[in-house]
Amino acid sequence: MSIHIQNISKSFTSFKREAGLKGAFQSFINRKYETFHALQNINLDVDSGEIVGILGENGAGKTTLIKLMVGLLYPTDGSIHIDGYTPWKRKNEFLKQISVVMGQKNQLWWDIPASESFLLNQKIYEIPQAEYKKTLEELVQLLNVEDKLNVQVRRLSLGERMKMEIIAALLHKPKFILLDEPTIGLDVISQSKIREFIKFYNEEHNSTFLLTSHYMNDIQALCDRVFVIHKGHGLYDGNFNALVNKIKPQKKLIFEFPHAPAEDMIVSLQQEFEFNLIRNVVTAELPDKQLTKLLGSLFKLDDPVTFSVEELPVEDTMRTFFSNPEKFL
Amino acid sequence: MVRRYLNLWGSFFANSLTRDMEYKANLIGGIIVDIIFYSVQYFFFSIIYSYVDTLGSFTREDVMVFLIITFISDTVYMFLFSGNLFPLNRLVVQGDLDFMLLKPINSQFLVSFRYVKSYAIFSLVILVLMLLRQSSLHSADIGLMNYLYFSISFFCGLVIWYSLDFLIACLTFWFKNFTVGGWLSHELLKFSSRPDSIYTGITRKILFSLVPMALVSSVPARMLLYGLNVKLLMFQITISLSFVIMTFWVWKRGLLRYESASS
Amino acid sequence: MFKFLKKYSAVIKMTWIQTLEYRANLYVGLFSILSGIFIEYLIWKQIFVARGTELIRGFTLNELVAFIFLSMIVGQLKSSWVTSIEMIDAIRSGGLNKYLIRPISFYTYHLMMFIGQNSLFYMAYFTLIAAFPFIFPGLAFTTNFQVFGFLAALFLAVYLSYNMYYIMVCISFWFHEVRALVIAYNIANIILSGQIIPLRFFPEMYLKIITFTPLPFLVDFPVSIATGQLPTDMWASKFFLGFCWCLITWGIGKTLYYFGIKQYGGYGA
Repeated sequence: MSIHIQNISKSFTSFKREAGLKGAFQSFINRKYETFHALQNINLDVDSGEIVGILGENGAGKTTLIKLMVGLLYPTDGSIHIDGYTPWKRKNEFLKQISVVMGQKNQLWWDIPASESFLLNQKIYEIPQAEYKKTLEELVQLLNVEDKLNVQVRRLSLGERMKMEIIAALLHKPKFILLDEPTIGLDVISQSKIREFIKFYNEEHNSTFLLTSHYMNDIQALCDRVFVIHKGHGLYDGNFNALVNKIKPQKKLIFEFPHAPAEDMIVSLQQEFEFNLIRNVVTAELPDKQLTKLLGSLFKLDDPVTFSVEELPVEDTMRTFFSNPEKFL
Repeated sequence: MVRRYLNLWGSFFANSLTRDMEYKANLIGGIIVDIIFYSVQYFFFSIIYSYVDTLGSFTREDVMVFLIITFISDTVYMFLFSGNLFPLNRLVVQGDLDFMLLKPINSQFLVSFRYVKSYAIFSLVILVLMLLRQSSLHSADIGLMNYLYFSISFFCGLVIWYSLDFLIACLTFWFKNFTVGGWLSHELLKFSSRPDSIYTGITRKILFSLVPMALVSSVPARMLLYGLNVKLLMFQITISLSFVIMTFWVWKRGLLRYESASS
Repeated sequence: MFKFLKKYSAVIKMTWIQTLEYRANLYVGLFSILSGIFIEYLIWKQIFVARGTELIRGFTLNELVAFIFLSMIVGQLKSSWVTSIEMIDAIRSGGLNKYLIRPISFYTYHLMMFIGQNSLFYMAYFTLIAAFPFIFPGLAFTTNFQVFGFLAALFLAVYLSYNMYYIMVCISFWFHEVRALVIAYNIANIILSGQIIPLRFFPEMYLKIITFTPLPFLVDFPVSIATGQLPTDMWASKFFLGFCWCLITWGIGKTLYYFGIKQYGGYGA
């Protein structure tokens, strides 16, 4: 399912109010309105079978973009075509091909077993019985929740509940799936289980995924391509690792000598490279090329007891990025 | 189409029943509240009729039948809609309406019928039996045809009530956080819980047209007690149809507003 | 004492801000009273016409309508069922913890909140009441004495009513579904405390039973004072009795809370 987003803009009007009793009185008598531009001139094309991550800080416009794509909002300007459908017309044929999972909201009935809610979805999406059974069995097995199907949803753990939400969202075999913070609040194991599942499902069914997440590990594991929104503008569209390299090309080197190296050698090296030496251990954060050079020089001094080169934590990198995104692009 | 939606409602009912069985205390509490409510209404009229023999055309025994009819429409309404229309405000404020809009079925249907207050069915059975008994005790001869006309008229009354409540609930699209919707409709409903014969002049005209609360239970009671009144029934059908059509229109407008307002 | 006032007046002020947000409440509340009195008027007009009499139980139609009108206003001002449901939820869901770990009292906090939430109503209804001598000349508030007596009795009614709700709230330490009880009480109260039909129109037997309960003090007492239906020489003894009811209900509430809080589980969240 391919997506074409062209020049999409969306603005909201809301009334503003000052705090306190005085503000409450003022707004009681006379409300003042202000316009807020949530999205401005967004362009995005996604091919069938892709998994694209949407990145941005809180309030950057991610949710607005998602809502526009599934037809929950009307744009102020621009157009969106998803396999020829215009989302906000909300044709039943279109709705039968999409699905939305929101980590912070649940669509399952709280007080009854998930299986009953699934049956309701079967009727709503008019899924033939045989197909329904097959899909359900497959999903339940993949997510490993066979024994939880008949437990009231409120008794499930957060991770199990999320799995059930995902099953409910996939029963009708949607071709386009939007995941909004699907792993929020989950423990590390559940997170990676859900990640694996998404990856597998995407390869198996060639369905298109759009994903937002605060966990950069989610994004790194699932999305080759990301789309970055900042203050309502599209800022970057492309490979995630390339973006990370652009922001912080450094890697971390740890190199341990068997004996403390000669001081004059170190001093001369320190004129060329930036690194630390604590007893026998050298640590440095440098771009690829410099790091290779430094490594070469260190080897010339002595053979190491051990050495390693590591990527920097992607979470930190992205935090640096969002503190001032324009700087890096 | 109709079958599909009936089928869906069946699923709603089954799910609601499963849920309500979990909360027995709720069920008993609900029944107690119902009984108190009915007793209060009965007590009110028994005091009124200790001072007078008839209120307009409604005699004491007429009013007993009328009362049971108001209880029945109240209960049917509870059964079908009370779990759905009140919470619309919360759905809109918290944005949970999103999920309903993403389903490939009519969203007004989903929003209106999703939760069934299944326990109301107990009260309903008892009330229908009471109505049958009360109308057989009635001094007037109430024939089978009267029941037929009553049923049609009652159905129209229910449709009107649903529409009116739905329209009020939809105000939440225009007034952010419209928590008073339930209260407001309850206050309007008050007009239907008194026999229409007390209303005169312009009030009467309003209650038969703009805010047709008199059509909810007084007119059905008239059909049962005094027999068919073709003009009145036709009128009631027209009014209920136009109100339903209005709900379709308002729902559409409301969604437009919801979509352009939420973020 | 001053500190006490300062602390809890902050609660009232906070709820004002909220109440102003929900101005729709006020409109619906007014609509409720006006439409309610209108329907009552229509019914009683028919009754007076049908009977062909000037007086029923010593009331003319106008006196009766004025009496019911005031009763509805008092009835609405005293009903703290919304606050009570919030309190029950706090007990059932563990929200009570919030009060236990802070130097405020659950009882007083909600009493102030209830008064604060109703403040818009007080303002609106007092405006209505101020217009009373013009709408119903000579039927209510004919002397200053009646005005002050009414205010004192209204205060007593609001406080007594809050205590009665508080007793039900405390029962929720032991039982789950107390909400239904509160709602049922609230519905029954509408008729039993005389909000839509004056108590003296009730059948003899009910009237006898009701005099042994605090119910007459909730609505009938303040309204009887305002409309001059209660002879002045009976005020003192009535006020004393009402005060006793306040003490009794307060005592029961406190006792239930004392034992209930030991029962209370805390419930995490």
